[in-house]
Amino acid sequence: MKPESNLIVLDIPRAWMKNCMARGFRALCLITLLVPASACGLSGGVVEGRVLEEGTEKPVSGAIVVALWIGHLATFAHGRTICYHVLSTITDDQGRYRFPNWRKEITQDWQRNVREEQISVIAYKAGYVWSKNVAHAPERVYVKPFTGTREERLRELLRIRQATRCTESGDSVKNLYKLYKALYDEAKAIPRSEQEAQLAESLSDYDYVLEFDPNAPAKVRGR
Amino acid sequence: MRWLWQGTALFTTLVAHAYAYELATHANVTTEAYNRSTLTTAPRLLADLGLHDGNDPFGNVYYDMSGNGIEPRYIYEFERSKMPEPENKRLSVRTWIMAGAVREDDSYGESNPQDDPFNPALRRPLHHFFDPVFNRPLDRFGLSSLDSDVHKAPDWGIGTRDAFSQVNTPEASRRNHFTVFDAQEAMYRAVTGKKKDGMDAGRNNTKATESDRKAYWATTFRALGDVVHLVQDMAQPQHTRNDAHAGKFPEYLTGHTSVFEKYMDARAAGALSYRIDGTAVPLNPLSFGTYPSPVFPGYSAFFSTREGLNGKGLADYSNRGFFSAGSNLGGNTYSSPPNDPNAYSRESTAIAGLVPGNPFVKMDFLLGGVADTLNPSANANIRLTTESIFDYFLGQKRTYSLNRFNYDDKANLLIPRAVAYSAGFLDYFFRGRMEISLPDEGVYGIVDHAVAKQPDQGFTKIKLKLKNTTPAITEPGGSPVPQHMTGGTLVAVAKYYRNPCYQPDLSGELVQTGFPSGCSQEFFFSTTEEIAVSARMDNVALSSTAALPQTFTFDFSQSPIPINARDLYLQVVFRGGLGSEGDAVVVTTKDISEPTYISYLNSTDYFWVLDNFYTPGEISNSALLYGWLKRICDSNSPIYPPNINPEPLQFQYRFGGPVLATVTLPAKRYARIAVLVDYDVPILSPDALLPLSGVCFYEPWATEFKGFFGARNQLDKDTNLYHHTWVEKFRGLNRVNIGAGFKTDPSVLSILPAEVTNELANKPSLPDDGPYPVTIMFE
Repeated sequence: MKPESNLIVLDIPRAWMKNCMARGFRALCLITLLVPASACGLSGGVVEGRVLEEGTEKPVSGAIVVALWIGHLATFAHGRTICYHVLSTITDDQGRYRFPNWRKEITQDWQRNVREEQISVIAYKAGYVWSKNVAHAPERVYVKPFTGTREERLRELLRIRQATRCTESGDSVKNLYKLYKALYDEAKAIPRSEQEAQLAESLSDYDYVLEFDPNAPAKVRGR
Repeated sequence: MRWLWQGTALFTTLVAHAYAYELATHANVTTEAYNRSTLTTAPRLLADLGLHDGNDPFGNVYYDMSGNGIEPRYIYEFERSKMPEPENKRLSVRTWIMAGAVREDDSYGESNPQDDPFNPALRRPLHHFFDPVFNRPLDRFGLSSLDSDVHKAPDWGIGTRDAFSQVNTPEASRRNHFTVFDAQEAMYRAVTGKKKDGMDAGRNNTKATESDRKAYWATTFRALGDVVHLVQDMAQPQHTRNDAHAGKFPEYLTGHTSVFEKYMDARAAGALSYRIDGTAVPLNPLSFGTYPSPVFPGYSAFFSTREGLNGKGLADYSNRGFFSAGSNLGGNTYSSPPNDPNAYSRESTAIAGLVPGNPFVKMDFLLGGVADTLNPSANANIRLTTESIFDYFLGQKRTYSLNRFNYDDKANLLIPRAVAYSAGFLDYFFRGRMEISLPDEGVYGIVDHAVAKQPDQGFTKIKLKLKNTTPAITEPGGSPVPQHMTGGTLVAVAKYYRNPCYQPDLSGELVQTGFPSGCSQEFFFSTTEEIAVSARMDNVALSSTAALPQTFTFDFSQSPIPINARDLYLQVVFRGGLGSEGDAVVVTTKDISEPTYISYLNSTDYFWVLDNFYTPGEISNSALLYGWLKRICDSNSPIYPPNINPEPLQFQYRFGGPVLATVTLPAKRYARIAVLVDYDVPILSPDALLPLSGVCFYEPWATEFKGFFGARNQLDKDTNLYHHTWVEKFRGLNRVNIGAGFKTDPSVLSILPAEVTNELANKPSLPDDGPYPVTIMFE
């Protein structure tokens, strides 16, 4: 794993400094260390790693992996966390995934006030669950076979859905469609009771889940 | 450069971070508050508001009200994405409250939808601070360049210039349009379709449509969400200790990024893990605890009771009990918590993994108590701050900071109170209760169907009894504070759909088997909800301690309740003083009957004798029948010979009280009134006919007429079944409830079987000349 791909908070300023200084503004970059990273544009380095099964260390192939770029949106008196970019991919036979460098232009003023904080990597595969028992890092994401009840599974799928929201990421939100479709596909096969059916149905709230279309525009307004 | 990276690491790890709650946290705290509030727990509250079960779809539009101006606004994916997943699917009451709780953090230039039509440059978070010790809003150098009129949070939320000295005086031309005052106004408009001044509340001052009223309901709950957001912010010491937390360069001016806020939000949003203090930690969902919802006699008290260190408001509690990033131990002007480190016990931080990569950092947690004056309890040994040897900016020793262990202890106390105070605030807003009951006359309204028979005609007068049933407010250890209604206005509202198939001869009513000929189900249900609103009554007072209800008569002459109404609900709306609140809105709703038809038919063209109906001609031609009647009348009646001919009959309608209508019906004519009653209570038998020509040979009513229920033509929203009272034929006439006067042998009066009615009903049809006019006496 390349140093700049680390998601640890400590490394984010380093990655930013590298990008910034590479453009020949070393002095300015040093002075303005705490200026939002987006002053140099919104971008991200390579993120790569493996999805492994807890306990066996076996690679998990075919898992959908999502990387969420989480930042701090600073204003005056108040600030908050936002997800400003998202990518997804699928693990290969060795459980490997890789997200390339990305960069996008500032299109809205608020993006200038975004300061990178974390990259959250989440893996999903039907029948598996995120492991809580091991330390996760981008280079090693652990899942394990799910063994709970139908309702617990549905709630887990809902949790993944909720944890991967990235509303303010512009068009990159469409990179989540594949995951959302997969979540819904698994969920709708589970229910046997009315309550379970309602839980599953709550994953179908968005048109693009039902009518999967990678080129569909991001939905803006609710119903 | 190594020092720089270490410094950065320490910044993220050790330095005290100011905090407030983020959007998913607000949404989750709000939904929990909603679940605990009377909106969920009081069985009848939503029904009293006319909202069934809270899942009524309001649509995705709400109104931004500014003076007489109204601008529609929409719910966005932005706010829905912050809500718990299953909750945002329905645009329900709960969802709209959460939407307000999210959008209260709107700010010019941020990533929220920039859709404020009246104040697009508004930065709402600047008004989210309240220091109860110094009674001040956020006070920061340079702040006036951003906003020259920063409000204290309670002023901002309630909508006044001073929540403690002028709580009942709305701020004129206020920029916040989602205050308590706005919630009250929106609710009034939602129910009545009228503004406070009586003008129509539709867009451009037109009559409010069903869509308008739904948008106002959405506005009501969005505004309440905005206000409870402010209540929740009072559970953030940074908001009550004058501590900005923008995380904007330079941070020594704007405050640090709030790690606690992010940590809480990650838990609220269901994040699978989170990196804090330099390590990835598994996250548990937020714990909302079981703190009881506070009860106060006014909105301001939820923020502060202005009792110094004994204050019971949430701002009092968080200011007094906790440090914040910019007001940590030794670095603030507050007397509580103590700034003397020796006032605390210590817990050494030999905690593995607290600061990965920095194993040599030594810290002590300073443990202290947090006083709760509202519900005194022993909250001791709380990790109030952390003493360490590093400081990010100065590098001095023995500085104080906050980390996730401090955050966890704080969250355990503050999050449950954020929920409880929010729930208590909602309870207070919706505390008003009234109860409608029948007046002494036994009907809410009565009309002559010979007169009020067209769809634009109907009930122009509604009479009812009303009682203020609002419970007194009793603070812990306090005396009950009665919630009298004073100096208010009262309007009655009928909420209904129409039967579009209605015909004056009742041929458009549903029959036993379903929809009448020529009326499809689709057409029958195609109408939208309408309301009829009475004239306003002023200077109304309703004591909450009165033993008996008061009787009110509402004038609907300008907006009659239509004769073809279905799915009818009767509402009464009080607006005025309620306890200490100056401009409260209290709504009560009663599901009453739909227009219930009651007819009398003069059927003296038939005579019941010897177990059968005969015409006068048949009796005259029968020695057996006529001889039988002569014998009966000789012994029982002063009238002789027997009068077997059709003749006028007098009827009167009475429902357990005074006579409400009379009519003298010629033979073979009928009268029909419509009444509004309680659909689920048997109606006492109306008084029936009086003979005009004597006491022999009449029967007062058909047997089925003794006791019946008000009409129910209404969709049951629980079962999605449509209940209907159907129409049948009676001598060719469409009838619902009918009393038929006919002549008979007096010796069988008390034993007439029900079949007699059916037999009479099937006699040859009468021409339908329409109902015969009656005289109504309903004042």
